[in-house]
Amino acid sequence: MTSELHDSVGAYVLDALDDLDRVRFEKHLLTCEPCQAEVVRYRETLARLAFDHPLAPPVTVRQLVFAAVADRPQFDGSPVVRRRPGRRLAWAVAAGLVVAVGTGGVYLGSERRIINAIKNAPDAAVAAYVSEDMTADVMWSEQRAQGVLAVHGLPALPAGQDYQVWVIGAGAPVPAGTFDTSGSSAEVLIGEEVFIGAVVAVTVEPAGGSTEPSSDPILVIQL
Amino acid sequence: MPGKHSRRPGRRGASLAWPQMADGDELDVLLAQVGRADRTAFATFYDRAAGPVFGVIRRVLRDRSMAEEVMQEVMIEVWRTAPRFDSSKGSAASWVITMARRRAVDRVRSEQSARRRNLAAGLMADATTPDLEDDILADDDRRRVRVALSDLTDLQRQAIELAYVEGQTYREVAESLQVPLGTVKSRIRDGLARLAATMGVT
Repeated sequence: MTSELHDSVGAYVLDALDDLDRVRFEKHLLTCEPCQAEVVRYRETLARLAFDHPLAPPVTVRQLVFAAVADRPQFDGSPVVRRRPGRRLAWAVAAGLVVAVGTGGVYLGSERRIINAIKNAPDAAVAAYVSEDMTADVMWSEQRAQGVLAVHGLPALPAGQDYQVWVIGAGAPVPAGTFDTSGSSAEVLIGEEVFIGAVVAVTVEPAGGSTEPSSDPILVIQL
Repeated sequence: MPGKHSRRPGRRGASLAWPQMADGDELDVLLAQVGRADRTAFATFYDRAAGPVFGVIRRVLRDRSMAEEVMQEVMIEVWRTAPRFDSSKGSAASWVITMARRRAVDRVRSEQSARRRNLAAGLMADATTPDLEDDILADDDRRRVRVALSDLTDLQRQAIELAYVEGQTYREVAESLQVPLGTVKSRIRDGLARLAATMGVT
């Protein structure tokens, strides 16, 4: 129901949707301008509330932060040590479901090597999407700014169509490669820089891909 | 000599020692400078935003050391991702507060599920040692937030409080308040709309 989706906007801004509802809402949000405006308005409201009610953190935190950024360039510096037990757990659960990745795929050697390097990166993190008939996850390294999308349960497409990956940061969706699934699993190197906070989405596009999405995404993963 | 933080004279000498942000646009400019690897701007940005950011995190995460860890992560992330800040999409204040809330809520949820797993496995829940002084501060903070929400209807306020302060999902809120899921969603939305109007956010 659309009105129910609209009503999710408040819970979304308060991070009060569970994973599945959040994915559904974010999918809706991509194309719903009134909801986009509401998200901005409520976030500004929460920011005001936060700035009206500060709590002083200990000075030690400041020292640690400045020590941490002192030798750290932006984007491509040494990895940010980030524990994300929740997401890793989701990955562990999903790992049982995302099986036989790569069995049906043909990879260029170099791409395979990059994929392995991302998976073995010390700062590798995972965000997952799970629905009844499909699981997908993005494993990415903030340090390398590279990620791998693994999907399981996507139907093979008719001739003339491809799945296309998009990365959405601050602006419009950026095309990040196309793929098709001969089996039901695929593992794809994301052909654009990925980073925490970005959204990775997949749409069905005419073979070879489009410069901007021509349909709604079939899956959306927030990193 | 009037300092940077005395633009709101009424706030001087109030019970709160933390300086209030002077104005939002200034923070936008600072964050843009941080995005160009300006470390001095980062220091100023930190000092303006640290109190609000820590308040948001601490409200959700009662464990002080956990809150401090998340605070570090958020501020390092500010430094790292500032080049991607786009002021046409919203203010720097909402950018950093959104980031802080998301991290804090992520952490509280993963802690909760770890605790549930431990309990299910028959392990003792690893009780965090409460700090009395901290608890008093946190209680006081929650009271003040409640006052800020006092214009809302009871149900709007309770729903927002549970989600905002306790980090509950809307399903948990529905359970806590014994109201249907759809009602929780619409009350949270209505409540935020009203709060936005009260605070003059357009």
